[in-house]
Amino acid sequence: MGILPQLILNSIIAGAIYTLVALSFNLIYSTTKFFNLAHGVMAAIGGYAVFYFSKTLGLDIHIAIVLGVILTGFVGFGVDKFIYLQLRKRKASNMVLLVASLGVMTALQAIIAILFSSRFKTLSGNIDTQKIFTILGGVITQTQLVILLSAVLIMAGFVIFLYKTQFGKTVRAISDDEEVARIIGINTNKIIGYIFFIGSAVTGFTGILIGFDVGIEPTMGLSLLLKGVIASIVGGVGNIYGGVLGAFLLGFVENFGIWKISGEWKDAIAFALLIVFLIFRPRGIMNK
Amino acid sequence: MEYLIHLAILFVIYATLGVSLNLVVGYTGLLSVTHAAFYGIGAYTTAIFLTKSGVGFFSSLVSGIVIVVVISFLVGVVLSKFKGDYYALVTFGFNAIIFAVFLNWQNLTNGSLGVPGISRPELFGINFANNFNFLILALIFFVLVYFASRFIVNSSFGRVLKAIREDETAIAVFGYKTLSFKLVVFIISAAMAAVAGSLFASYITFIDPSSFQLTESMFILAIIILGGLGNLRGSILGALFLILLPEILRFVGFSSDIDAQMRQVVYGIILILLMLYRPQGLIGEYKL
Amino acid sequence: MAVAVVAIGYFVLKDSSDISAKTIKIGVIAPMTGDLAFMGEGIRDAILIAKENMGNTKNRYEVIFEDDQLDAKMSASAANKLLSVDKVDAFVTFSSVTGNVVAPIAEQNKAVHFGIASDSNVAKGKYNFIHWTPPSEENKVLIAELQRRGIRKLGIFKGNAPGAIAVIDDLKEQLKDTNIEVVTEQVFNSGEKDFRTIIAKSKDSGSEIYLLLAFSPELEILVKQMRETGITTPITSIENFEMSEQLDLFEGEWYVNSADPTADFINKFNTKTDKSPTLGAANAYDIFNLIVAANEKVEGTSKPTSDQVVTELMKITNFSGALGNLSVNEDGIIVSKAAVRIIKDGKPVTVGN
Repeated sequence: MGILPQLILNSIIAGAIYTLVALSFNLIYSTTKFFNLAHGVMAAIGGYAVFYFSKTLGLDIHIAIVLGVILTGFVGFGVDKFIYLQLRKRKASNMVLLVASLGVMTALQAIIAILFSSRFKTLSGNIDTQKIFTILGGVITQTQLVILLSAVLIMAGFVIFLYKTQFGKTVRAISDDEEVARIIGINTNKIIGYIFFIGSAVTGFTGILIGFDVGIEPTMGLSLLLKGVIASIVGGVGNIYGGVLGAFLLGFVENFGIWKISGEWKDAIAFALLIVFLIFRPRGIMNK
Repeated sequence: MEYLIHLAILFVIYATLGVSLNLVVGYTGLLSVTHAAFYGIGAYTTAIFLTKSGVGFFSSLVSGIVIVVVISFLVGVVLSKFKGDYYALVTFGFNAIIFAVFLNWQNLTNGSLGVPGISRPELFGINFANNFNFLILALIFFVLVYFASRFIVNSSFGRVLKAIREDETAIAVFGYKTLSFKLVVFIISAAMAAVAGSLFASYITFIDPSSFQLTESMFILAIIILGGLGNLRGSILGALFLILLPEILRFVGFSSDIDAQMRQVVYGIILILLMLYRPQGLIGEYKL
Repeated sequence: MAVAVVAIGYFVLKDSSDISAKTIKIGVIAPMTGDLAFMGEGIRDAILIAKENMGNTKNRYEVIFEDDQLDAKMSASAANKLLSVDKVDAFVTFSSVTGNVVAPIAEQNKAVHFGIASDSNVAKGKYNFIHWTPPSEENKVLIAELQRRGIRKLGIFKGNAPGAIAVIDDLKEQLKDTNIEVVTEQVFNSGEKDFRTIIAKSKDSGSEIYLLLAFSPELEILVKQMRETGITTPITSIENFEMSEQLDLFEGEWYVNSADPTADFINKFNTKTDKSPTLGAANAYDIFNLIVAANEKVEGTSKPTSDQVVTELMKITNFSGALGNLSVNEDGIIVSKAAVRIIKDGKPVTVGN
């Protein structure tokens, strides 16, 4: 047995985090179709919001988390309303939106650093307060278990939301073809606004979870976003199950790659997987 | 004065990078986010030759071009299977892999320690330790690259590129082997980046992997989007703007605590405003 | 665009000699934004503390901070700006990257340059100095302690950064003459937060002790994750435990540190910033004081020249610094002795020899 159970567990934990990012990224991307570089910053915003509410203001941690998630949702909503929407109205190209999102990411990260300094912070208390569980020979902490459960729940939530509600149907219509959706009377901009709220809130929640698991820093968003993007595309853009599959595949490949090769090649392995995968299965695991 | 000459050298190097990337992105419509990799290979080739062998600057530069041509050919072949966002992601992946090689192939590149002590070029006894002389040298190379690019875009080859950008299937129907065209422009663009890399290595006299990461590719992309895709003069302006802007901000003072971070906020806001009010870029011709 | 060029030109050409001619200007280039901003912030704070505690001096000293985001081209731009516009007399840089970029510029312009960098290349040249305890001295002490405790199997976790790599390369070289074996060596990249798999890989190696060459925050996360998997193996490090904000993680663990650092500095830093010093902060503090000391020693009433300052710097031995008792060797590298310390009851204590 040896290292295998732990390796599998590690892969699942990593996969769970990537799933959360892939889900939220996918949601927004499928409707707006541009690479929002600022999406990752929402994780930092969520984490720091909870830090502020719970450690500085001393609020109960659960309230802090709820407030943090909602706040992040609003920030995402605001960025869309005041920047991206305005650009969409002017028929801006995706490249332009990309550069604008680069500006948003730069500014937001810097603002967080100004308010909280760039020092790494954790949301959890002392190391001893972590409950540890052993499953089939591998170790997992309580926070990591929560991350896993959250990923499953949110994925389920997304599925229900997108496929079983009227609102979800509208969202899918927009992601299929925005122009057509508008023609048939859907207020696409309003819906996209809500999507940004939800997507940002989920990412904020992810940042909070990471804050409890390891910690937060202002620049945490970008690498997180990249992993989420890889997961989405490997799994098949626009497909929920694909994003999840891609995320777990990424988690497994990274960790098994480290096992077989070495820690410093982790990122290269992830991308190599991506490329090999795309060569042989260009539409992703699950075609749309 | 030295400061201005230094900035001019950087500007010329980045103008070279911008113009060459524009050939692929702006004129052919391929979203390549791996330019920093070829920039880096050119830089490392020159650095290694200059420090470990008796080979001179110009031979090193040519060697850099040769190596880059080979690698970009291989990369380009793999890329020929992809379009749009997938293309972008695969290029991204190559950048990450090549960066990992710079960082981890310690025997060749010295890893994170970098390569110090790179000499300036030796030619006709001219003292290139004098930055002004180096500027002239860099300018000469840039002018060559620029006019080569102008020639390409104005030729029938260039017309095919633009046709590929507008509608690849349509022009393929007419019997044009679009794959070859895309491959050739990709290789030419990469070779030009290698030239910029050689200049960079010799100028700073020290290189390390961190100069050739994904963020660098994004920076070069931002230059051409800002300047205006499909417009070579625009790329020059974009390079001027993005090199000068952070430097100008050095003179805008805030309280020393938050100084640098505030500058980042301003930088981000300027990017956003530029995209809002000038989405076609400083001199735009092509809107996706 | 023309406006911008004119604006910069104005600042460059403006005559800044309106300030007293005996002001010594020190330019500090460090990452003030980006991933390592917290280290740049620590350096800035440390230097400001040193300046506040300077006391009376015959020269005036001014410090100017510039951000380089640890990017080579920005380091070069910052250095050029500081020279052309601010007319600095000395540079302080952080990281081997910045140091290697600025060293040739400093040498060419005869400006004193102190690098907080592990790469000895940065000290090449008359005007270039490094303040970073050389690995050989610390490894000697480490190996001696390992042997004293009868340890034969060593496990290593190292970050993929110049500081850690230089130490381990030297260590492995020195270990060749001993009977200590490196049974596992795990590497991780900067910014990594998930060490669980490399920890799992090392579990069956039979290490009697783990040498952790990581800096905050990776260090604390690594240790936490190790403990979470139930590893009770002792851990040790070179220099980094003391600066942690979570000293309880290292309770009872011994490590190698520069000998006799003044606890004074850590207290001052805590008081001013409410945080513990970051990597390189103590070095920055010392460097500022060294520069001031050298300038003050130069005789005469006119402003010291770089050559005079360099002469004084090379003479320094037994300087009391935050990193212990300092001397400058002939290569321009500041050396201090190393010693074994242990965290006892949440405080670092030197273990008697």
